[in-house]
Amino acid sequence: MTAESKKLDQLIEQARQGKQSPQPERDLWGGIEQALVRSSRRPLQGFGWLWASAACMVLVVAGLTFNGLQQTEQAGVSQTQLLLTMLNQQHQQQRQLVLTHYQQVGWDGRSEFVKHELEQIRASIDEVSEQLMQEPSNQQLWQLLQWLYQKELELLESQFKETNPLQQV
Amino acid sequence: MTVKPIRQKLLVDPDKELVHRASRGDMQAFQQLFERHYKWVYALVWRLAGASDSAHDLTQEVFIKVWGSLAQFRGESKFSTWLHTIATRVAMGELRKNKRWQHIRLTGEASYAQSMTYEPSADLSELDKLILRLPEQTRWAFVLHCIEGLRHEEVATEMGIAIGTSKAQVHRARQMLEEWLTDDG
Repeated sequence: MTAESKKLDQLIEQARQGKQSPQPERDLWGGIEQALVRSSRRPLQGFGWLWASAACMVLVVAGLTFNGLQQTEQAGVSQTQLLLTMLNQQHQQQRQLVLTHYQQVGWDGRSEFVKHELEQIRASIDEVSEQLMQEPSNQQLWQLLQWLYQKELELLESQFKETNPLQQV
Repeated sequence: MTVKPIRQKLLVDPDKELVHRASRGDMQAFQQLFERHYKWVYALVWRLAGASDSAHDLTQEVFIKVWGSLAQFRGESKFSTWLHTIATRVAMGELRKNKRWQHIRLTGEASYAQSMTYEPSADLSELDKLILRLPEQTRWAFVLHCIEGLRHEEVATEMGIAIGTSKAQVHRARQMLEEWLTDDG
């Protein structure tokens, strides 16, 4: 092996280890972020699965709960609490995902009307959840909870659609 | 230190959680992934492109493409390995398109490489300065095989050439670089 060959191997090894690699001379994230935000301004077709999954989750859990709790009434209360907590956590994650998305595209959530509506829906969710603790086998209450979750997400989206044209200006 | 995805030995993907969050629309998580990986992605596309201006755009293009493709990432390989493949393909795809365009624009000139007036920065390593002088196809094969650690079969697939051609290009690159090292030494 020649001296040049050895030296080349050393230089290659240094490059492999990232020593003195070429580095960007300007910020790159800003341009990427703008491009991503622009692409996400398109209609939120992607959120259909969110609602569908939420609805399915509630229905499946409600069905299981209905059957299971009929057999084990004693354990039913704690199971219902657990299920409600799980459902609420899942919904909060979905809600946060929607909110994060809207904030990224410029939503600031300033509408007092929507804020009031959201508060009402949240209060209703709490009420229905409490009632479900008393009546865990009430199928209609589970469906109402599902409907409320969905309405909250729809309301968040509607606010974005209303304010979006102004943001464009 | 730059992390080379090809040589990572750990079984657990350190990016798993961030990838999961990013694939659900969390842009902050995606930004963290960007911060972890952009340096080696930039170095890779810079070496493939052979010029810093295109490397900036290409790096951005890579991450935009990754964001759009996250849903397709199944986690069968590490995220960094997947990112490496995307970076290589985006860079070479764009460079091929640009080359075609340059070829039309520069009709009558001997080659695109000869028309380049890019001045290497003083901050560059000795190897990177020399890499810039390699012909494009030779440089790609050398960078992917010798620096990025791809096997000749993989280089051949990425470049759309025969395995033997990849070996020949790497051999040629080494000869040219050794010769230049002698001259410069």
